[in-house]
Amino acid sequence: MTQMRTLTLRLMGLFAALWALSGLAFASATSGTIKGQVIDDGGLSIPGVLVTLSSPSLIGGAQQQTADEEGRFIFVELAPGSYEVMAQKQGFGQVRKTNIEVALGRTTPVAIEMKVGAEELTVEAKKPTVDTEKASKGDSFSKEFLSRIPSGRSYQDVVSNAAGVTGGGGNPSSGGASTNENTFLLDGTNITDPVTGTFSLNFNFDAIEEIEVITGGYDPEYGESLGAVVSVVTKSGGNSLEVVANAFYMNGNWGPKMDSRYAADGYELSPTGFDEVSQTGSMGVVVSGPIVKDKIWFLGSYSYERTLYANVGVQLPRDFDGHYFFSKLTAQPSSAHRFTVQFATNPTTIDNTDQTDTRIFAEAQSRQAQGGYLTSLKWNWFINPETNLETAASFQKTFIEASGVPCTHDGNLGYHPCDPDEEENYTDYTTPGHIGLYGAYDSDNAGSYYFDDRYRGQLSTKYSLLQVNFLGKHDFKAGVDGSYLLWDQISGYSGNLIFYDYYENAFDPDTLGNYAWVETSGPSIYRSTGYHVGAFIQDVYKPVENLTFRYGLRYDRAVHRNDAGVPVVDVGLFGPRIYAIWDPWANAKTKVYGGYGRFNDTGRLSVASYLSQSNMGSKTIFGEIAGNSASGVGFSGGDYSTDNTITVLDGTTAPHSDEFSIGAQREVMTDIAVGVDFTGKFTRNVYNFDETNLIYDEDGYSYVGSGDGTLDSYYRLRTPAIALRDYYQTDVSITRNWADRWLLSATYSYVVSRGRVQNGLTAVLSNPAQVDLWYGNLPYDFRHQLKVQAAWDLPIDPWTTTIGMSGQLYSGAPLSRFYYSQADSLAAGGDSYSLLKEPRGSYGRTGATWDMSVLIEQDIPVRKGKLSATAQIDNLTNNQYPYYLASNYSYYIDTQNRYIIAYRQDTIQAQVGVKYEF
Amino acid sequence: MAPTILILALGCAYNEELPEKDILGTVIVPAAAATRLQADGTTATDPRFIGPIFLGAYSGIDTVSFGYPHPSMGPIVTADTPGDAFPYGGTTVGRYDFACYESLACKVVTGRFSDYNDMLEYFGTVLGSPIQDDNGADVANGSTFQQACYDYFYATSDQEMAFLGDLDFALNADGDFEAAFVMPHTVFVEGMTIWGWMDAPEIVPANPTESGGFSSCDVSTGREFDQYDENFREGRVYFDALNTPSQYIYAGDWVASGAEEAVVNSPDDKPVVRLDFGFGVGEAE
Repeated sequence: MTQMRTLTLRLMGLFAALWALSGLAFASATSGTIKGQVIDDGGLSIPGVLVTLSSPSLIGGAQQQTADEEGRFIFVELAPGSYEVMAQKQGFGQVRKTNIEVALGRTTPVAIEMKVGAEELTVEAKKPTVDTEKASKGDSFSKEFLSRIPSGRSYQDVVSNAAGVTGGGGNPSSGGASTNENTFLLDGTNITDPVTGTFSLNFNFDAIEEIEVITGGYDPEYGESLGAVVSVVTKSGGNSLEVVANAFYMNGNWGPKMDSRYAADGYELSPTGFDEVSQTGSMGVVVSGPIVKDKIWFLGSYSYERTLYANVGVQLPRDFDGHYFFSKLTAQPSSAHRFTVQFATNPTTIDNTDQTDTRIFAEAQSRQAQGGYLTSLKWNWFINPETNLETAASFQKTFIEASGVPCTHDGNLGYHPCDPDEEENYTDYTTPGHIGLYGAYDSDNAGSYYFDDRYRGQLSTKYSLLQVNFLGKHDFKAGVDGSYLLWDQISGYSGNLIFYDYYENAFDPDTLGNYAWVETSGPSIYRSTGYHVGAFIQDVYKPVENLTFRYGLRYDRAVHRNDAGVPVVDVGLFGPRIYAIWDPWANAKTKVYGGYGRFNDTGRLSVASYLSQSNMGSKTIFGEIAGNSASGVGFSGGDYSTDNTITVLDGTTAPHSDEFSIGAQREVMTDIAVGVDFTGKFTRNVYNFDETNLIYDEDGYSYVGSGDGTLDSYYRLRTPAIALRDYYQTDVSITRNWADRWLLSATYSYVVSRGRVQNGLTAVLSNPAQVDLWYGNLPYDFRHQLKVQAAWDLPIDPWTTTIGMSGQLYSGAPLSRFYYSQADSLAAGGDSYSLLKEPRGSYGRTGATWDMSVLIEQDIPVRKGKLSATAQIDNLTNNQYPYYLASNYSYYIDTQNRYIIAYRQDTIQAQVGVKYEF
Repeated sequence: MAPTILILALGCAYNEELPEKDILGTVIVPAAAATRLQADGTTATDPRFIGPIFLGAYSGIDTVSFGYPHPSMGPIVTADTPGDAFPYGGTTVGRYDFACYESLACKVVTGRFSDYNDMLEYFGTVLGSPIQDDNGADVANGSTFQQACYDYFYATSDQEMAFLGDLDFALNADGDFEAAFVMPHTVFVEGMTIWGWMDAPEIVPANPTESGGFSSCDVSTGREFDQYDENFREGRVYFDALNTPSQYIYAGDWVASGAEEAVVNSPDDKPVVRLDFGFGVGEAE
């Protein structure tokens, strides 16, 4: 009886400890938290225990705390990695708990049981399979995980492994949002492009410690996003020197090529051209280590990537050269202060960007340089274990410079290979360009130029107050952040003129009669500015030990001005969020959770630019071929008139998503958890451009009049309630942590994505008669989605061979059929295929698409360090790849009004590489 | 809790307080306007004689300048040219749609025909101008017509043919034809009048092949079909049918007189537009 009572008490004590541990504390965007409690073998808490935290990832050396009167301890702002906790108290046997994994954005619970008079005990921690304090959706990808599964070796490619993320490339759709509604964070710094809302920086993949993709249910700390928050945390170095070098080569022509095209009615069309060249080579190195042991760590990385890609028949391949530098300095001069400085730059050149026309001449190819730099400074002030302050400042510039000759990096062309940031200086602004048949340029000058500079400066501060006792336990966090955005664009024709020769392939003064030329009023010089301000307060509240509430409020405000300084976007909105997580058996093996959150989209500078007022005017003058006529006596606008035909509506609000979620997860076997959850996400008031002058017939097929008697378009920005998306996602998942040489992560999602607008900025609703028909299946309405990642280590010693795979399956995407319209919604008098006769996305569906990639990594024993060779095959299966979906088009109309669905097998790409870690 | 929050969240949909409103109303076409001479020499009342109806919201009605009620105009800026009318918004009841054969360009209005045979009967029997295919041969039956349309538009369903399907007009208790309309996104001005006109089909008894056309449609514009030796345009409505209607209103067309019931004092009003004035005919009884 006594034994039974003792056992009961011990179990109760252990459960009490787990209750205490299974929650609380915010882990910030760039770190994790360890929280624990020390109990005795009778289940009672032990106060005054000296708890020591150590890890190779811990700058500043080992940290020590004395457990409070309830035996609790907490370590915050920890870099992801493996940690060890040691508990010591006079009279008790010392307990050492090893292999405690700290993950990004998570709190790792640590329960320590000490016995009176016992000997020293070392216990290996078990990685929790169920996070009983987390209500957000998404996935974390540690460097260990990423080393075991195939990936494109970029953080952008990793994102699509998360459930609910669709669309390829680095800018996917998450939770039904548009591709420019994600937020990208690098070590907590917002690196989202201020103009497009897309990613804006590349760097060495081996410098990444962990990537977290949060697709919903995130805390008020995060804002400005209706899609995913992609948080990348880089390594920081350590007390020992580490070198990671790699070299990879990928060739898309090592696999078979199959290609076919079908019209929507099943009619087989002639095959499309297949990539003639598809190769990528990369090499890089990451060096990290101490400058002052335990005080100052450094990390420096460089990688070079070159990709050649050519369509069949194009003379020169698209030649992408990227140089990615990333460096980081972390200093912790005292236990209370940590400073982190970062610098990144990624100069890139792209030659031969036009791969669409096989007839284009080599000298007619256009060139592009792009890149930028990021510098940031962060200060963490650990006032005491329960209170800390984080303050950060950063500045980022990105640029695009596009023009023709003389800036090329292909020596075979004989032109000057200028540096990326020098291109602007080399461009000849004075000599008019000449364009022959099929866009061929005269070799002396390019027809046009485009220079684009984007800037983001940001400041943020966050204050955390943890372990507050008030009707339970509270962890408070509050912060403010602000960004200033600026966008400069210059585009124009050299010499403000461009000549076209209708008959010749190149400029020939003797055939002047065949010429037309466009004379412009001058280059278009555009500057847009804006700012974002956000503030939040949030709390993790545990009224009882096995129930957690995460709630808070965020306010986002944004102003984006066009080139005339007019605040086109001027919005501010609150975003309340509340979630509850319940661990019904209080054993950290089960959770039931749900909640509500509102997320706001404060927009991008591109939104304001649509209402610019200083666009370039132009007039076309025809040569003898057209009787020397002119299109007009004065300059007329291109897409937008130079006249002030814009209006700004005061009544706009920030687009926002109201998201409801509910779910459950349970550990069914050791290291294996299964889960099911449902999310309903209702996005309203998406940015939409409206036209207010033109009057349509009852179907929106043609204009029948206008407000002012002209066919001028008058635009204004709206955020109407009809610009909406309704998204439902049900996930069933199974997760197996890495243990016993294997891991598995698989999620099946049933998704319904309907609404009127997919893009974050649209003009389709400006045709009022068509508004109702635009409600239908949105382009990312892939009803069935399956994502699987798995890895297995072959048990062959001393060699270690890892086999990893990742696969994705999507059922068909909806197709819309658009019909010929006499009224183009954007250009007065323009004709286009934009008329719907049935609800959008109901015409048909493409076939299912899938891909599967396999990786084999072989460790090779060496005297020092770790050498591994990698072979990866992408798209191993006979997948069908809807070509136009890859470009975010779910339909295509050929010249015969036929709707083409172009299927193609994606290239089977093979990648080989070596990696050395020292 | 979640449903409650959902209701609250969605219930608080943002009000843009736009100056534009959707105006819902009814247009009534008197039976006289749909009564025309058939090819066999008899007259008949047939809703297929109802051409496209152009509706606009105007500041008022001018009963002086023209031989029919006309919307109030803006200033005359060009000598000998009437000033334009400037509608706050507008719509149509029926619109021109291309019905697969070149011979039908600018002759088919949506909402008037139920199926292919209905069209064959109207053009062949009523107007005496049988539909001809692109070789100049009469189209024999609805199936042939349907196949031609599927080939022309690469269509797989009659639902893709906007010129077929639901009919706009129904007979009301007075024996007139009545249809509902929605004038979307109209700048609301208190006291504005909904005015409209119907372009009646041309009936040319002496030369039936010229029958069925409309003055407000330009057969020389519109989408161009250019394939092998076939080259023609599908026709298109004039873009200023609501701005300068006098260019397109001819004897036989019907216009609204702008009665009190067509005045809109509130966005919730349901104006009734009666095309009760036949140009060259006078007011309908």
